[in-house]
Amino acid sequence: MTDDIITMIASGPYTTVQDRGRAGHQAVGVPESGALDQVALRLGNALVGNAPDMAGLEICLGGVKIGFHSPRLVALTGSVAATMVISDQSGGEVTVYANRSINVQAGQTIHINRLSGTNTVFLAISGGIGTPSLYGSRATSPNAMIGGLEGRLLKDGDVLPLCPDMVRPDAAMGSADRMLSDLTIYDAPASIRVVFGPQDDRFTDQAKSVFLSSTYQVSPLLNRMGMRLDGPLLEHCDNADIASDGIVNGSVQVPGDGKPIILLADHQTTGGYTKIATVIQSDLPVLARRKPGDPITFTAISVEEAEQAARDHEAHLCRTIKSMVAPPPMNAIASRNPVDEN
Amino acid sequence: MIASHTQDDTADKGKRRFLPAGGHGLVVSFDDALSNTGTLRDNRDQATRKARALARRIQQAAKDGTLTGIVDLIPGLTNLLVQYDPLQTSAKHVQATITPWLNHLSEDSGNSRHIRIPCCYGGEFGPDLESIAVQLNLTPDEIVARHVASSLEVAIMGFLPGLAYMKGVDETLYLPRRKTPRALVPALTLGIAMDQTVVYPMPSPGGWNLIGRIPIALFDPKKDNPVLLRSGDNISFYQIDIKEYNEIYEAYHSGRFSVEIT
Repeated sequence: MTDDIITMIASGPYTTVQDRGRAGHQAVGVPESGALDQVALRLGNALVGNAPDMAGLEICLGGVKIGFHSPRLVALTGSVAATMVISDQSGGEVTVYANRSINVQAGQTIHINRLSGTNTVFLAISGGIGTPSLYGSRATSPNAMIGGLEGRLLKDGDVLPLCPDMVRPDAAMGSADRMLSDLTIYDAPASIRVVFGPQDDRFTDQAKSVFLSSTYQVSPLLNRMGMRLDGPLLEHCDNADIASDGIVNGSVQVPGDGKPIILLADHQTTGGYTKIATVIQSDLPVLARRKPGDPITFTAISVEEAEQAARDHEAHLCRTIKSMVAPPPMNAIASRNPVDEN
Repeated sequence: MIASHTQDDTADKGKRRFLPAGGHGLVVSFDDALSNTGTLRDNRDQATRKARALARRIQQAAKDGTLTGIVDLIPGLTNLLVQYDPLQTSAKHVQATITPWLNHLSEDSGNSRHIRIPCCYGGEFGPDLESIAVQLNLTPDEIVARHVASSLEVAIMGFLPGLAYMKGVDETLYLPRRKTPRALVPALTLGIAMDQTVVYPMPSPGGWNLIGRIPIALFDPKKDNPVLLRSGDNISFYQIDIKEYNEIYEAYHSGRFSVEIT
């Protein structure tokens, strides 16, 4: 039996294999999918020496325990404060903060507790997860039943293949460990930036001003398809029906009941309801980190400002990756808690 | 290919041509782009074909390198969503590039593919056939006869991988969707609502009136080309009984049955 596997001793309630996604096939109904937090994906892969689009684990809510059978570099990303515990068979344990890579040996396990300060984290593993690829991506879309392992959420006992770790032959020596010294990319913006449209003209002026001036709350009805928001209802001029059009990540759809839903990575490809606004691409990772009950407010910007924000965001992400340094010794790390959100 | 009417795309007849979808998407709407002749439905069908024609034109430009940064093209009913990478291009550039093309789109007359799909109507596979027969004051056999006689066209794909919205159902079968959608519709069940037919490629919640099931896959990730249908295809269904359903199902899954595509 190959050792190039991991075992999901505990899968957690909402863990999936994710990568950059499979954009380019929505015209035949195939959702884009991919990691909700693309920043976490990029940083994780950089920390373990992977190509930017290799597949790892998206862990929503936490509660995950993973067994390793070969030495691998791993990194937890998507949060400043999240931690994982690495245990060996003799009972030794070490707590490791997010945003650094660390070598895990065969026989060791990683435990990620129930998340408290955030909703989603990403675990990158050197070599990447090697489940079958469809349209050039391993991303899981549970509603479309494609990608990952049998197109579904992971469950206890699942065994996932890993690609051979060709990138870091020195991984076993531990010399490849890295940490990010600049974590400002995780700074939460005061409000989520949107561009009005495509169908903002189907809403009353009052609805548009209510949308921008209200504090919404993330509803417990939250999954990879969409984030429902609790708060003031948004009134249509006439009704919520449109000639079905394509949907992008971040579309803020408002059906007839007036309750906004932000459509996320696994959204259906087309829809027949009005969309008042669209969350800009560079603020989508922020949404992945929001949990039920968290407040959300919106600011409107122009298309040009949204495009500039995407370029600024990419530059910030590159600076963050360049901020990788060799970490201090492990026991120092274990006691270092940069932001105590928990 | 029939050349379409030339129209002045700067003359906005109260409806916007370009609608922003964040800083990463642009909806091109053809809702107002049509002459006032013909029925509303004909006009909308024509707008939908135009949107598909624009998608093909942009795809070609992406291929030959005249338009870079196109991430995906999603044709809708009367519109096209252009998804772009703001690191490589901008809405302004996409809009400026494609605007001259809008006056010269050849009307998409479909892909000239005609696909015949077997369907086993009624019984366990079509649990709504009896009840909609009562609603429509027809016999179940009459409904089946009118459904197989309908020439359908895939207007758009969406909702699930391989799911085609096929327009052109016989007018006497027009029905709204069910008031309460079913929590789970078995894979490959055929449903009708309004002037449309869908077949659910995989188990899914669904609100359509279910009248039959097909023995062949619409989405098979194991195939090189996993999706059977595409926008613009002409589709007709033919009736099979449960014995034929089982035979075709077996034959299809062992590679001995090919779908009739002409």
